Amino acid sequence: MNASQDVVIHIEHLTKHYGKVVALNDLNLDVYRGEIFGYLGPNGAGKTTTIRILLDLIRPTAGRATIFGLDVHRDSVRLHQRLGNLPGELALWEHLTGWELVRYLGGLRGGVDERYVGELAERLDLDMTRKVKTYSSGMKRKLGLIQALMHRPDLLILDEPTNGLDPLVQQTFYKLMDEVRDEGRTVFMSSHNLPEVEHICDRVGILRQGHLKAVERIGDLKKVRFRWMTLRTDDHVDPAAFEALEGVSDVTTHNGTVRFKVSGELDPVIKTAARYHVVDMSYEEPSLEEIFLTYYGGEEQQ
Amino acid sequence: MNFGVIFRRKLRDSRRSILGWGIGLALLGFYVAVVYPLIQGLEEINQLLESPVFQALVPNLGELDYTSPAGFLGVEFFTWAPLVLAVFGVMYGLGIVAGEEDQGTLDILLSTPVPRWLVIIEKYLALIVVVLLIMAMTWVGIAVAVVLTPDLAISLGRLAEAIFYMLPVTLLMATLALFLSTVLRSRGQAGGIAAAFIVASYFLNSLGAMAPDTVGRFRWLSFYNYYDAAAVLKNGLIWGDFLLLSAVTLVLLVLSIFFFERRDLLV
Repeated sequence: MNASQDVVIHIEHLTKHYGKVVALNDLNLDVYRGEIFGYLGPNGAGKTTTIRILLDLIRPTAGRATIFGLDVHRDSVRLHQRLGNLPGELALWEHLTGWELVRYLGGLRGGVDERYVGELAERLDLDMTRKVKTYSSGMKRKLGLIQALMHRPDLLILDEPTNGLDPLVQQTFYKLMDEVRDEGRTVFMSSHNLPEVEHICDRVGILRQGHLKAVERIGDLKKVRFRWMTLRTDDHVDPAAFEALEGVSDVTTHNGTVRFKVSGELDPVIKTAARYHVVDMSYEEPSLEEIFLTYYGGEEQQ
Repeated sequence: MNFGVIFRRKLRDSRRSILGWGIGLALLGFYVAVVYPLIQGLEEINQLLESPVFQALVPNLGELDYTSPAGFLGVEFFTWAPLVLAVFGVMYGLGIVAGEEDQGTLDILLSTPVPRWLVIIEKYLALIVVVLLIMAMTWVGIAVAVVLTPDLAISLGRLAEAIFYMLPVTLLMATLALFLSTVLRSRGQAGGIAAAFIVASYFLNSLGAMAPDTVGRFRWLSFYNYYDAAAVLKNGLIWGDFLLLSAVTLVLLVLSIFFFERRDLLV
């Protein structure tokens, strides 16, 4: 996996300033062939800035990036032949129909596989004969996806791809991404939607205020396990009894209900709980965000 | 790289614009030309026009007689037509880069294997074709009037030359707008400055004719200074002016590409 010939995106000390604003600060990142890489962060973290540098739409203040070993700026034309791009703020030529738009962009790529486009349109359920200006925003996103996928690029760069897609279409999108990965192609997608990233990505990078805070495999993150336990009793619960237990933290009580985080063994918790008359108990997986906050405890909160 | 795709797209997208501007100018030309017989006999007008106030209003006359066919068309049509085309040029020039940048479609366009310079060049070539088509329609409009108006003794070939003579002015204004939009990154500012230049050109020229020692010294800044349509109608193209404007245009075009290649696209 880490063999250098399998590095698709290589980012070195990438920095971007807009005047005094630091949009991206000394970013270092490798993305490998055949993986779906989730680029996660709140709005304004620098996700789109990174993507636009990779596409040579803007130029870095310092550092460099290569894709397939080609410099994103110097070799951009050659590189773009192998890229598919879905911008976050998608703007399309409103006066064209879906087909006209696809043929225009296809023409710039030296031709378009209309059968494949037709197949994609059918799977995404998009009427390509209508003008873009009559499309809803969800339909525009679908057309945006089609134009990104239609030439079967080796690398897909997708900025918030599922934004504005309804849940059914999101499922189709996940399937499409699985197929792309199965063909050994690579996906670099930004998102601020954790469950989505958890669902389809192999690795995830967390960006915050222009800093890359972490790059982890999804599976590894989930190992930092803790759970939320909530006990409902008809007694008065003494929080101190639980706070004293190892692996228990963040205890709160409300009337007869007590809620806390548990990591490690459950036995002491169960034994303590047994002192009360337990009416109900729930045991929840934390969200990825909570895992991150635990993983990188002490970081400033967003 | 696939050449010609953007060029063809831009031409197709300009169909309505060609028809609109072309028919407009053709009708204006036709109307002015058929009115000529009414003016032809009014010799007194020439005396009136010797007053500097009127000279300021008819900047394109030169040493020609207003009541002659070339003088009349030169003043009544070829003073206004380049203004119209200059406005068209500015609008088109702003659309080459800034229009798509504002809309956001440039992000998709430049993610394809197309270098930035090619986007400018292909849209620019389409501009030349578009302007030539508008001019051809203009020529037809006036030519029909000339055929219908025996008094308007003017060579259709010279007419074509005078119309063609507006090409460098139009391209200059389009390129100025393009250049400003690549440097200033604001379509509004670029359009404002280009429009101010059009207005300034007109007044520098007309006021300059009235006050040669003051405003007149800056007349060289006006594009009208390189555009003597009445003389072209009479004697044919003035290649010196034509090439000078073209050279300035070419420099601006090269600078536009230079700056556009280097800068960040707006979000």
